[in-house]
Amino acid sequence: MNQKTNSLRLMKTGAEILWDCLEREGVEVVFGYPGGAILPTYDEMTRHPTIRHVLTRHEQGATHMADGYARASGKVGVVLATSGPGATNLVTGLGTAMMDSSPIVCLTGQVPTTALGSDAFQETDTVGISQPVVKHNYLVTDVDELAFTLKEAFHVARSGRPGPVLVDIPKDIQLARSSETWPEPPISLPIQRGKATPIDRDCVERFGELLTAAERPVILAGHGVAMSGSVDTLRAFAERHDIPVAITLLGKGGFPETHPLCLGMMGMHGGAAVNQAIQHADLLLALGMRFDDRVTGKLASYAPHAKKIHIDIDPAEIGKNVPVELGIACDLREALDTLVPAIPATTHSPWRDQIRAWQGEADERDILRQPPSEGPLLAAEVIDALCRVTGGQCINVTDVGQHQMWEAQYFPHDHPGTLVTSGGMGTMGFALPAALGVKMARPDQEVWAIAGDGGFQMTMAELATAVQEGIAIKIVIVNNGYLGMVRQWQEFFYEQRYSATPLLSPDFCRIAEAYGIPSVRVSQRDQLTAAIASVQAHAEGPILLELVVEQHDVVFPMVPAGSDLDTMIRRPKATTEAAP
Amino acid sequence: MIHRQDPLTPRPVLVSAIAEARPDLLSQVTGFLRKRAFRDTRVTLGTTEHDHVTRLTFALASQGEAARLVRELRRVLYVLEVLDHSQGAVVARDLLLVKVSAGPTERAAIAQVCEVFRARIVNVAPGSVIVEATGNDEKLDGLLSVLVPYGIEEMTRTGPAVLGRSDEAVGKDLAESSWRARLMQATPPH
Repeated sequence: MNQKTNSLRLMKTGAEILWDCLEREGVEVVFGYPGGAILPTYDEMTRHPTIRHVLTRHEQGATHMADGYARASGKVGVVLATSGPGATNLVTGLGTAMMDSSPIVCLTGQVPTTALGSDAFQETDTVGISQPVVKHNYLVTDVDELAFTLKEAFHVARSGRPGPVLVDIPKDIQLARSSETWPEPPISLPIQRGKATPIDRDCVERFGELLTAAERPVILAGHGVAMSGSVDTLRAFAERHDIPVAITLLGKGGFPETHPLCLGMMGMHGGAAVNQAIQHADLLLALGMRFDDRVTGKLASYAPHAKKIHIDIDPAEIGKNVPVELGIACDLREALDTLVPAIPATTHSPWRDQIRAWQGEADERDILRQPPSEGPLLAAEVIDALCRVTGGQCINVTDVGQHQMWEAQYFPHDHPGTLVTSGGMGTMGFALPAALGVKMARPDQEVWAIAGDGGFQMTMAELATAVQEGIAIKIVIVNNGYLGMVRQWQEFFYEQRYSATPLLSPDFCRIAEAYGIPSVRVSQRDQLTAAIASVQAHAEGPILLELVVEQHDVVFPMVPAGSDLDTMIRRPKATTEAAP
Repeated sequence: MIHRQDPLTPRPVLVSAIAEARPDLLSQVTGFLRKRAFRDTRVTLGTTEHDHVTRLTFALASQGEAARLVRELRRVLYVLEVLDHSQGAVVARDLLLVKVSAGPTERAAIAQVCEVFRARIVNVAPGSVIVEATGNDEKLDGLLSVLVPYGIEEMTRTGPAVLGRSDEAVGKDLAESSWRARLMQATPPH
């Protein structure tokens, strides 16, 4: 054996380097689906048994699982997929993670570098196709750069405003050898230099002036509160300054909803009183949120009397949608820790009385104030029952649509990380795979995947993953036989022409049975609580609960898209009838 | 039809980015221009004094668009520095190549026009000449308006290349923070 062969033996293949890197990053689980261009990496996986591989039934499922895992664990979720269709199937999950700032790293196989650009079998321009939906992506064309690229990819995914990163690795790079050198110096990115707003004396003074002058302040708490670990700081801030807190959908859990200062969710399906408070406020403190159109309604008339302070870690968000008096691009916790102690305490009793009056008026219209005693179950009732039975001591993973909004309205969350949902992207099919990822990150927690009959059918193939991996989640299907949220828009804005929204579904319990998953179906009011309790008690593996609910129910209140935030379609007082 | 700046249109606002010369830099930049719905943006891209560093210059219609672009550019990982030229004094130059239809009788007149605009005739064919000119928007617009009556056969005009007038050299330390430099620092050659 000559010397060259000897030294080659000491060198590692790209695939070995990849798994070494994952081990060094502390990765415990990867979600993936094998294929031709990623085979060398899958082959090497057998020699790295410390990392668990979860075989999904579709690459989209893998991305949502990694996303759920990331949101529940605070670590980076990892996805493995092959080239071509494997990579294109990642796009929806990447977009979902991008919109909700979830740190995942997707590693895709690619045709060999020699075949790049030749329309080879299962070749696609993965970097090009994923570019608009990732925080950053890479095509590795030199095995010597692989370790550094992977290290940077993890750093980019989790640093600053987290997000998805994709690394495309041609097959010959996985096979090529390099003397792997793990880059020891910490990654420092130019993008992180000098972009944050310094919290200097001027900034503190301006913050203090605005806050002290305000008579009707409202805090808008977003996803950034929990992500930056500011939950306790925010609570102390709100209490010390007596400021009511409105939360975004992803902000749920960032401020306890049972707290007297909590107004609840804002926006399109937010509480009427919350939106009224925002429209009448004279100061909005937007913390770790991004003024999404579902939150603001018509921008031109949004909070017309309010000065705005916006604190967000992403400088590009400051002033993007709403002009602000004071914008601070900074980690929220850092900002609050510096700003809050510097300002004397305040009280706002008259303002809170006013909001309480609005809330009282809104409560009168609540359907659960006088729940029906006969007729079909209402979705609000079943969510409320779920909350009562579990005592709120669980993690809910919701899909997208009406049930998502009902969960947000009727299931108060007091702790961060107890609601995982696709907010920005609104990805139907998210709940089941994401819940699997959440449960893997938090095996000690009770995890409920709540989906509608439409969204569930988009990714229900992942039931097999749940069984194969023995992941004990509770799956709830809120079945109303419609693509309900779309049907609701058709009812309000398209003269009740229900185009393509009535939905045929299979017998979900028999589907579950085919996978060997126990199931319960409930359509009667008197069976509801007991059924939820029995599902909760089920300890071994996944279980499915189908709740058959009223077909024509509508999520109230609703701010029509593009309308003023306080022009809401509201449930008529003391009646369960849906408005026309 | 020649695209010319309307004399009443405000002068474009210029923004530069100094970025790593990665193969996908251009697609990243054009990608976000599309994604973030920037319209009427001219981009010039070229090499710099550093091997692995590229300089891009954007000409935008308004100050608001420029501010938005600055925020978005800072999101691109390969971008090392962003320079908003709306305040500082800069030298900004476009390059214009224009083929003007010109027989033997018109050539002399066109040559005279070129002299006034400090442009040059760089090619002569039996029925046309190619004029080369560099300058800011106003100068090139002015030259074109004089050449139009002769008949413009073909034309290409780049966006601006820009450098600040002061002694300060902004790109000086940036090469050290480029991906290539970070890679070399992290994984020394073996």
